[in-house]
Amino acid sequence: MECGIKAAETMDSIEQEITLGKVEIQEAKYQQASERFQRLLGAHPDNPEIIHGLTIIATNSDDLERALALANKAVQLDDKNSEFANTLSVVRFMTGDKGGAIDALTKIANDNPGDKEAHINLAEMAGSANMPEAAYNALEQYLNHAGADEQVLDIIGQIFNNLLADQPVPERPD
Amino acid sequence: MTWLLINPTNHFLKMFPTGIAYVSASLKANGVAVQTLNLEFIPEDQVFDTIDKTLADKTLKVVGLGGLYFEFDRIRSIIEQIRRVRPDITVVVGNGVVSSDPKLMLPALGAQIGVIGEGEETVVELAQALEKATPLENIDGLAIFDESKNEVTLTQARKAIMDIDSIPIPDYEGFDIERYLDSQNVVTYYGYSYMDNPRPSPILASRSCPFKCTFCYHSIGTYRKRSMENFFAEVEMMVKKYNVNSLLIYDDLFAVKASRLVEFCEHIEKYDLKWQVSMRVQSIDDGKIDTRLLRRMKEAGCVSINLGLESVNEKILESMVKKTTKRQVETAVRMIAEADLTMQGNFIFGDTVETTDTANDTLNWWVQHKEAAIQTDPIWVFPGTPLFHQALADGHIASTEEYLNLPNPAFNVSSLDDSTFNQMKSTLAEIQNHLNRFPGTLRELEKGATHEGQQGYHITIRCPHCGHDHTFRDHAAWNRLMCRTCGGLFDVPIHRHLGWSNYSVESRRLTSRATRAYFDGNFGKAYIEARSALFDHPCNKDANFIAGTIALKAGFLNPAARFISEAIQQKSDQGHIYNNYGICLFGIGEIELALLVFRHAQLLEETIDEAVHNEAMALEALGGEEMNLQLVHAPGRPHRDIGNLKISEPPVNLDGSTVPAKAPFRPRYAAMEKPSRRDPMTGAA
Repeated sequence: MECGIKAAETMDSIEQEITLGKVEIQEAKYQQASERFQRLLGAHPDNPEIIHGLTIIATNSDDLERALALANKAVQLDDKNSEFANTLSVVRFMTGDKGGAIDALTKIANDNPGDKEAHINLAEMAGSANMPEAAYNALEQYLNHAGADEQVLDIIGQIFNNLLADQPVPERPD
Repeated sequence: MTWLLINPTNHFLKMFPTGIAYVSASLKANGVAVQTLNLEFIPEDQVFDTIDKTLADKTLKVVGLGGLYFEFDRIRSIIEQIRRVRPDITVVVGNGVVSSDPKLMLPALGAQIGVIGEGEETVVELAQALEKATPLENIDGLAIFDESKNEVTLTQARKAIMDIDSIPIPDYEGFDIERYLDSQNVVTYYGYSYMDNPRPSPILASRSCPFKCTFCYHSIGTYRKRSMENFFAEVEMMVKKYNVNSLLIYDDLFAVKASRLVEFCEHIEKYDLKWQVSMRVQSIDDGKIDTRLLRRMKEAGCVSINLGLESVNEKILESMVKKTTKRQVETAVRMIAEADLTMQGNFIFGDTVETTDTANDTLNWWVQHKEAAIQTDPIWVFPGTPLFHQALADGHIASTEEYLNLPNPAFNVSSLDDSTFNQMKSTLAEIQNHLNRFPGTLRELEKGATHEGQQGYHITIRCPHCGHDHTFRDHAAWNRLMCRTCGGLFDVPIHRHLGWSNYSVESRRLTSRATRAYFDGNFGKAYIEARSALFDHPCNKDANFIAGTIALKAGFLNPAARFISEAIQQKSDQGHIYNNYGICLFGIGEIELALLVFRHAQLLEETIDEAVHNEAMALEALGGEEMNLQLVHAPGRPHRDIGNLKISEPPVNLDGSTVPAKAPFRPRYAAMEKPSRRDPMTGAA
């Protein structure tokens, strides 16, 4: 019983640390976050959350080779986590594997129609790969699942504005 | 020993359960105590409670129920509930759901006894045997399921009751006939639009059918007719007791011979009833039932004739054992139209020898005779039919058990590969959803009575086939109507008058903003506003059209098609919308359908230059060939450039409401496609 409580406390403490690390990433305190996650990794080398945190830091530091290795490892350790898979796709895209990244993210988006981040990422990747219809479809898939969303609608609006910039202004009806 | 007879069905359209009402009448006439339970009017969430309460009566020892294969899942769940509550009770199931294939269906349904074929005599003998606890094996027409051995035993087949006049008339009271008559209305069902305030009663003048079409199953033996005296005694009672004003003659085959029809007309006209029947095309073509006799039927109150058309390809008709020909189909369709009767018929696609050529043969005929409003559907494979056995033999279904798990009975048994079969189904759906539409010209529309929460309308409308105006009182505004002059089927183009005002204030406000942004050339903003309007009201035709047109301009063909199709589903009479839909079809490679859609657009609006241009482009893409359109084809055609096609701008005012069509409607279907009183074969007037 006592051992169980201790384990729970340890777990709580790791989660707390990971949360603190995520906040530091959000605040762009990459050095601080990196030190925290490296320290945690020493004690918990197979914790996918920690590895994922380091992936984000490596990505933001443009260390894409390391980011790809870490992202692959996080997905290997927890292949059900759509956030890890999403990050792996982004890293693959950044390392030049655009087709593979889009395919992988499409699968994630299809499996998780309510995952806004995955759909927006997919749309951005498809857009930069000159696949505007795929970008549009990804965003519509999210809207059809989740309902109205200002941010997503705005991105779709931008897609149409970019594509139809040269279209003549339609004649007003009588 | 008391029997409980249950009508298990609960359809959107309430249809009196004639079969079980006949069984009930026979049991009662033979002194068997019968209680009835009609689930038709019980709310879905109270069905099991109602069954439980009814079965609390311990005098009930047998439950009888049945239906057609369509009701399989429902009947099975009701039987499960019965056996959960009263494991001591004997469950007897009858009608097509079990008769079609007793060895498969009886265990699947979980009932102990099946009544196979005509039930009236069998149930009486069964009731007596159960009462006296005598063996059931000597009773003809039974399937007995021994659950311990998981084995079904069939007794001798029941012979058909040759003198069907001797069968007691259905137990109308037992199954709430008054409630059915009160619930039949034109707010929910266009099939009665030949009159206002219909009180139609189903009735049988004959049983079974002498033909053996491969897709059909008759559970009740050979074809037999009631005498006129016997039939009209029942009609007289229905009119006097229940104030019935129209008859749905449910016979598989109402009349083969002219003499019976003449006699029938003489008898029925004194009752001043409207009536609908099913007939065979060759009955009309053989010269005995001619236009004069069809007009006589109309004078005597006939409003509609159902025909089993199925195909105009001779190879398919032969394979289906229809015993009909293309010429007979053509003659029957033409003569019924000439007699100003409504013709209701289907073409079914996907017979075992169906190929792209045979399917296109019938579809091209459909195109040439569009005004006949013939339905186009894939064939359905039902247990007990020759088609079912063929499908099993050919390996289209691995086993009868597998069949029960199929999502629906419209699967591929044809000579087409699966992907072409699916393309064919998609083409049939396109035709039904977008081309089999004939909007009339709306003159007036005002709210009428509501029926079970649905708003009825008084609709004054001009028939697009014959140009006559009619007022339909308390009808559904979204329904198809039957012209009371020419019998032609046509649609109510509701959106211009009704749709807009029905959208929520928010949806209208957003559509208005979308329209302004669109005509300012700010397509991104226009899409956002239109799409937002659809979150509030997904059926908003104008918002769908704006969103679809923007998607089309961007070259997103499939999303554009979805939005624009939704706009058409609002029963649009706007050629502009069709024009843009046609462009979507053209872009995805469906040039033939696109051609038809561009032409349809011109039928709706005379002055739609874009559709004229696009039709020419589609024809050019087809190499000028339009005689034998390849509407069914192998899938995977490449996408086509739509850059040379002309997109219609949304016909929407800046406030978001729809601009009226540029040209007033005129009866152009009649002018273009149903003008002739001449025989197309001989040219004779």
